[in-house]
Amino acid sequence: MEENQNTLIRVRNLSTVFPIKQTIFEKIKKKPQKAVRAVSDVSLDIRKGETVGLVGESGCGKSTLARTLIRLCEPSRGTIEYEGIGDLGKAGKQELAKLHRQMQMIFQDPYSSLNPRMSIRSMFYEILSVYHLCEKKDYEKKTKEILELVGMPQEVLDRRPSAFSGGQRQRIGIARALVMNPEVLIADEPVSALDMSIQAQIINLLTDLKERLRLTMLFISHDLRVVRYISDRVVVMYLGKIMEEGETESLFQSPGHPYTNILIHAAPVMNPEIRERSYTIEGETPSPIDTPSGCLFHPRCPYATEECGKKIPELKMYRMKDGSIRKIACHFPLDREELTDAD
Amino acid sequence: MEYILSVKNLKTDFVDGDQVVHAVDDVSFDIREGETFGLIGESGCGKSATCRSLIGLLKENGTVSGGKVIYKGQDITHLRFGEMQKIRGHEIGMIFQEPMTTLNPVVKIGVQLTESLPDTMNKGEKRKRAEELLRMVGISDAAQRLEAYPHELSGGMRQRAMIAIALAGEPKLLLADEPTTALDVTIQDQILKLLQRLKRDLNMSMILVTHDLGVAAQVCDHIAVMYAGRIVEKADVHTLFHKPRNPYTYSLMCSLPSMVKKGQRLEPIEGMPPNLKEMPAGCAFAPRCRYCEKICAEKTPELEEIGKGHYTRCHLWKKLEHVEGIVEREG
Repeated sequence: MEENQNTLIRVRNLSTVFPIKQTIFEKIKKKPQKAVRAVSDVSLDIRKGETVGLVGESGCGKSTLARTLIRLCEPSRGTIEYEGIGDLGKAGKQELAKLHRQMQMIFQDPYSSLNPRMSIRSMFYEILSVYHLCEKKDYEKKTKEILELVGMPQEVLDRRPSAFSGGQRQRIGIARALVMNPEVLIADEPVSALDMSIQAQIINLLTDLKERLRLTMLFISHDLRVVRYISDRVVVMYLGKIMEEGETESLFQSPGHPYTNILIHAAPVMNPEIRERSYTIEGETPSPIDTPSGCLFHPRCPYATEECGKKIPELKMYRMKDGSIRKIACHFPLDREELTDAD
Repeated sequence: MEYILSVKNLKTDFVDGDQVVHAVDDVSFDIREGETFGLIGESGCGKSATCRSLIGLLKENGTVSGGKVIYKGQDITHLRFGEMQKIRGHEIGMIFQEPMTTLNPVVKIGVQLTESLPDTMNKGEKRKRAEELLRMVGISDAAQRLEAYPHELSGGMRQRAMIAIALAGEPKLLLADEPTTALDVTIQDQILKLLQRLKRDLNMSMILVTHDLGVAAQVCDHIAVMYAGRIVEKADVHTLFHKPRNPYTYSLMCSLPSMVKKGQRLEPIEGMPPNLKEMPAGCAFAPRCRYCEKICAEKTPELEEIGKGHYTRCHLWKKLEHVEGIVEREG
């Protein structure tokens, strides 16, 4: 039942590991090489047309997962099956070119993700020519079309990125991704660097475009308000692993993993009447080099028992009371009465 | 004396090339003893510049060109360096947004902490006090952490160390400039709780600069909302969130994704904040304002008291007279 006909990207047991360089001394002593497991044994399906929200704190591996999907990082283990292309992990140059027509990414920082020396025109012409997207005489027309799509005036063609504000740059970044007419858009914290009043503009733009172009979207953010608004399904990561995965509203209403619960309640609420909140969370995210034994979250978990420190909980499927299917990696999911093993 | 700090008609100018930019324009507020005062707004609205003007920490191209800052009855607006040093770090402490750039990366935490302690203490006393301060901000193995360099600490720990340094001079007023913006939500929550506890225990007042309406609602007693260098609305926290009477404040609150049902479009504020070098005539927010009328583009509105302690800078605030309860529910 896990398989779905509409699955576009099927990730299985994916790990992305960054080995840490050893000093000569360590090499002579033959010390075991340490490594950061940024993504660790992640399995995930992304279906056609849905928006998957990927949340977690800094260092949880959400960006690395996205970068691995689009092969900006090399996977160390596991497979990424993309419909029609095959395993992206083994993809050669040709398949990658094909992949990048299908899957595009927009980045967090609109200041560093655009080449400051290139005018908007040359930036788009380069993409159009490298990927042979249209004939040379249509370059200008195509560029203007795509800029109009993201709400940028056409006069901007010969300006450089420095002439634009953060919000405008982010629009250009979106246009750059969409000029390929991709199926999948990976948005890595696309609004985090923007001012509040501009954030809503960009979120509206992304929602409109998704609708109009029938995009599938992987939306990465640490801002749960935004994720709740935009996503159909939410994946919660902690130290490289998926802690919980489920339908957005159901997950926010009754989180099954203690970590999800804490994330949801840690964000300050815009209401001066709700100041004293009962829960607390101690400690900080441990180093991804020496991760805790057992459940990765157990040192900070208010409900942890002895078992949690010994046994690694698997990501298991549950049926929630509201009928939705949820995956939770916890020995003792919250509100256990609500759950029955669906396996 | 009721107010620990009074700011009256403060003006701060920055020189950029041959142009003068009014980054802070006619800003006034008072801070009572023991309260947390929030300055909120978007980047470039002058909230940080206001904060830095108070204690003479403006960059070289910035000057306070008008107004007064009165701390405990003393005018500290144009103090000489030496005199300001007696206040800065002792009477008024400050913490900044990015602890990695404000801590000295090549000096151990312990040294940075002890150098802000009074010279009347001897070395042993200083060390003991430094450990005590680290424990006070929730750093457990204090003695070892004194020997650590900033890069050896996590973001949350660095911010705690920053706070400890700011507290070393036992300030009566703490200026906190976006103290949690660079941190994760769970760590932000810890730091906000820590600041509130310390404020209570040490009987401090605090100015909190933030862009996050949620943070402001959680910790502030009074709030001033700034836009393009000016205060556009000022009130106690309950009035501000339940009865916003300025279109900018109201629109900001409405633009949050949690304010609409799923599937509905968000209500952004269209356009961009004005360039401070080319300020529009009349109300600075008029070009983006959904209530804008002819008068708004012609005449600059004054900050007007419309209720007890509730000020707004808008010609047409009466249009919002019946707006109620722009707040989020929990969870």
